[in-house]
Amino acid sequence: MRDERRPRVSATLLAAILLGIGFMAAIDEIIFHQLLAWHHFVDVGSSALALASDGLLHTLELVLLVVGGALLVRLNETGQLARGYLSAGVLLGMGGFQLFDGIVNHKILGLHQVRYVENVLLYDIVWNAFGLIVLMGGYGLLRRAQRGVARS
Amino acid sequence: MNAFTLIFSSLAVLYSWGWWHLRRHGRQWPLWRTLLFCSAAFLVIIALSPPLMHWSHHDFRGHMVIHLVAGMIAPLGLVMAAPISLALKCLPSTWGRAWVWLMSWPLVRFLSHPITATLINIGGMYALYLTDFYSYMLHSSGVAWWLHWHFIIAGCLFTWAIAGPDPAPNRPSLALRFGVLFLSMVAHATLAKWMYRYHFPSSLPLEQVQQGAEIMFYAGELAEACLVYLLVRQWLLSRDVMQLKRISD
Repeated sequence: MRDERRPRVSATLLAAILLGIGFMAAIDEIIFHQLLAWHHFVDVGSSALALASDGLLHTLELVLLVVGGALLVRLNETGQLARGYLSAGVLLGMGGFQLFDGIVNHKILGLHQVRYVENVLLYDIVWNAFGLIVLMGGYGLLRRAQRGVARS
Repeated sequence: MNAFTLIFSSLAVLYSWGWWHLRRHGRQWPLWRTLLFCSAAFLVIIALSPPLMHWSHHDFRGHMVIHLVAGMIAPLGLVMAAPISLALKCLPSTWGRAWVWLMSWPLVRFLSHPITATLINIGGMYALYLTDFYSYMLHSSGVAWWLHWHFIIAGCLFTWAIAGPDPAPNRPSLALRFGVLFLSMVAHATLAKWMYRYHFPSSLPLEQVQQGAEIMFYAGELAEACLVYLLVRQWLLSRDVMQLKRISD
């Protein structure tokens, strides 16, 4: 029988990554849509299908945020939360989402751009570089957590 | 003061009486559920009070706020307070059998199925906003009246079918309910974006429609997020119970 109160690393990581994805999406939504208004709620040129796919992605982000949060709450309640991996997972999710948003949403699907200016390339580079840095930070924390576990 | 005030304050009084009745007989019913039900009923009363109804009739943003409160936020409280469970605890056991009998009626089973409830709820919104029905409603007080009831009832039906805590025989699986909830959220978000982009309902000023659609999108997802959390929570708890069962076997 498995020890029910032992920290579960992969379950914690998964929940934290989901939370990180949803968290980054929420930050993007609040900062760039609401505060800076660089993105628009709806682009003037977007088609009905692009809007539906936007609705789908947005719902997915919200669901990931809530599911990740609910999983973490339950892991914490049952004493199965591997605390060292929590921040690693959140950063991995955040950086991964930022890159996904920058490459797939902005460039491949063309749902919206970072900002509607001449040199959007500069904004794209900064956006994706930021995502990469957060992702690498998450990887660093993950390695540190693994080393910490190995030592003890 | 209108019919909504009368009906929902009576329901709140009835619920509180049930709580008090159980207490007096030494049986427990959580206080938080009672408070939840009463505040949700109070929300409905406020949202459908004459001044706010008047505002909603002249301003699409007002209509949206009322629709969100009466059709999404208040139903969460009304349904999560488990009024049927409380009623069955207070009433003789024959009522419990009657409830099970009623719930196994084909028509009731059909209406309370998550897919039907979603079609009534979200489909009703598509029909209302994407057609001329909205302007028709503005010119007919009878239809407007019925529409408010539609929002409340359809909202409660949807919340109940997706994550209701009340006993129901043959409740569909958690996976199906989660999938239906997800699709309904996509449909809700997409409708808001379409209304913003293509100016639906077209008989209203564009500015009101766009601000109303943003309210619908952002405030609506708060209520939906609560539903997702409740459903995931049910899934995690039932999974842990199953695990304990397996261990003890």
